[in-house]
Amino acid sequence: MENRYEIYQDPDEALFQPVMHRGRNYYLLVASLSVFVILGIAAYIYQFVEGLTVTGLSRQVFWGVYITDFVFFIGISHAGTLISAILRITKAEWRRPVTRCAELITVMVLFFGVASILIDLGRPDRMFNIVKHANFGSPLLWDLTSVSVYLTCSISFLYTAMIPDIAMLRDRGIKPRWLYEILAIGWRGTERQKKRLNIAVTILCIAVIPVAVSVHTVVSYVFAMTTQPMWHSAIFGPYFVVGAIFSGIAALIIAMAIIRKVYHLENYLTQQHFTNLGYLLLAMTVFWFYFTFGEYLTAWYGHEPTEMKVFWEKFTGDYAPHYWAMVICCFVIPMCILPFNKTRTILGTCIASGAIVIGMWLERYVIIVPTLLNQRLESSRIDASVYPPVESVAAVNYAPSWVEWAIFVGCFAFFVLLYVVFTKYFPIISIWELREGREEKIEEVHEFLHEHPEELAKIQRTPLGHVSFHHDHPEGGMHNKPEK
Amino acid sequence: METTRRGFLQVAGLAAVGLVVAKPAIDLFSHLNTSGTQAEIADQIRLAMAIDINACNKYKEENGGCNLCEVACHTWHKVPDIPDHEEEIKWIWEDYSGKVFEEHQMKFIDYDKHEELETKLPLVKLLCNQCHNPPCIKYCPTRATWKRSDGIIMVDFHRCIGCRYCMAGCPYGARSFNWRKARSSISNPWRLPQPAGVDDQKLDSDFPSRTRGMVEKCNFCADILITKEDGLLDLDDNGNAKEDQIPKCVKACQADALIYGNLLNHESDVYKAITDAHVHVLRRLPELGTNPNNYYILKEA
Repeated sequence: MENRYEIYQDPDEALFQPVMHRGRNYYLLVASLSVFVILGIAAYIYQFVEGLTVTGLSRQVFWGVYITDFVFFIGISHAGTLISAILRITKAEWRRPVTRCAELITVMVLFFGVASILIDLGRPDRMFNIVKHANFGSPLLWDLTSVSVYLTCSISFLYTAMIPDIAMLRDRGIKPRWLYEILAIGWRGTERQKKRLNIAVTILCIAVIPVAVSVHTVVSYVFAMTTQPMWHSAIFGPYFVVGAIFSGIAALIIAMAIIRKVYHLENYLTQQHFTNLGYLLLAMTVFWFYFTFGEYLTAWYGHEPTEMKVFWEKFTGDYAPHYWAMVICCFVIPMCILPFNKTRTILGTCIASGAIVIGMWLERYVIIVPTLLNQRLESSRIDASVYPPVESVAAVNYAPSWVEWAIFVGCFAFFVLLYVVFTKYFPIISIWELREGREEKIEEVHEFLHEHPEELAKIQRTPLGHVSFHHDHPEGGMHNKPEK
Repeated sequence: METTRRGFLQVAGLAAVGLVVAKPAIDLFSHLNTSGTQAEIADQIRLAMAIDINACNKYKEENGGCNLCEVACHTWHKVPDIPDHEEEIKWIWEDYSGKVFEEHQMKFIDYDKHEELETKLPLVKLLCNQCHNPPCIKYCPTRATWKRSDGIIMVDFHRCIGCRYCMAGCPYGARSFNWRKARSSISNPWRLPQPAGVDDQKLDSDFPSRTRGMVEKCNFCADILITKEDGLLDLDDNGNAKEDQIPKCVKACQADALIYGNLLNHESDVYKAITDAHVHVLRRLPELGTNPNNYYILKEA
């Protein structure tokens, strides 16, 4: 029984390996991640019973880590489907091994974006009131609409592009068979099916781009639509979209590097992919800096007192460490690594990406907390029952409590867990798309040789004597392609 | 094209169906409640409060402090008394005028002594402004907070999901969130018999106590105001509240510093108070366009 797979020699065997063998390390990883998940759930239950008093939030700073997480996770989700859709539409050939890891990030992380906002609710038991008594004038409803459309699109996108691969798993008889049989929905790879699949993928690609842009735009509108100092800014829409794509690509690079290492996919996820994504990341670094610069220069030059309080809180006040750490993580570190060929290695892009992910979390934190600390009227308590009145103002500040951190870590661990489990049930690199790419290239070469017989003659005169199109290279006969 | 009878009937029928379908659909998506009677009420009643800063502070000075209005309001409305400042809930409270009306203080403030001066300035009463153009209600995803046609901004304690977006929308800090279970911090939450001599207000209050996780604020004592059959409030001819319907804070005030009534009735006390030629009238952050209905009166020295 065990040797059944051995007879079937597939050039992309490495891609099936993670699905076929779930080793000890996998179960160890799942177990350790589950510990964090359970800790997070326990912390949430504690919060649910006791109320939000167990967090560090207060009447002055009423939004904190949870709302930061909400923006952060939804930001990370912009790596996937959006990038994948853009690369597909522009027919970037190098996308083929990248798309699925990217789309998967989107789908999995979106759940935690939505979860973060539900965790933040005071009465989560009433959350369906948002649907039952919807007020479409509220930016939160725009969020709900946009995120749910995005989630639906991303799931359909991920699934549609996975059907042929699921059929391959089904045909190999990998367990659980029933799962693959249902999900493959009768895919046999006929011409008609392929044509339909391509149409469906193209439609979803086009649909998902405006949806993705709208998602982070309306996330920013949650802040920008209020009149709180430094939130009420027209630049927030595009600023958040750029930030989202920025952190998303960084997360994608980290995920790819880990997958490459752990599943030995060095032949599939090559230096070229990291270089290309590195360029994209560099472009986003510059964009991000441009928006940040524009945002803060406008506030500083205008010098409105309410805004300046927030401004100085960030630049020199209590939140200066967070703010400058953000600038270092999001701009200085990437700018030291990404522009140079020497440092733009796989390790280099990973370091830059790690810094960016941390920096972008800090960015959201720094947007939310200092503004709330410096609302127009600072909350204080004055006992006027005596004269002269006694002011008893505790220095209001915000320090996240262990519950908030536990839930954050739990959410993150849950995301990684779902991601890992997924890679053990479905190939993380789109096999059919790789093969399609190869076939297209072979076709191209054939056509070229047909049109230029003199080139064919040249090749035939070489010591090898013939052109061979092996299926053993993931880039698919690329090396045999004659230069034009 | 010739119009046949059949064709005409078809078009007419479709149009009728369209109208029947369109009307509720339009109603469903329109927030503004512009049905006749409510617009009429809004044209006749706008509740407002005038707060006499001088009278309030003079009384405090003479009597060695005073917070009667706070006690009366918070007792009646079962506002929990939470010692932790960061989680406190308040419907009516005070702050230094230097902070509240920062823009009006600038001209005579020596910047080096800013903080010192700020705390020396008189105290002002703060409560929900019941804005004519309230920013908070726009943000509520469930319409748990809304504006009554007489101008009161209400919170539905049974619908609020506790997202705190209205708190982000309110520039006045008028909204409080129930961070914890607070029933134990309420004086007499369950309307148990009180020992003799305790203010009977506590016994009469039917106002519901709140659970953790929802937002609350001053409701201009909407719970004791009586609405007549025609939808109008049961005010007297001059637009002042009748004796049994005077808000708790106003009733408790011994200095007559709080004046309440219908701003649109020019005979009302509140209208007279703010149109007095010898007073300065301030409103909080008028530049935000919220059009607050609380007016702060400063008498000329």
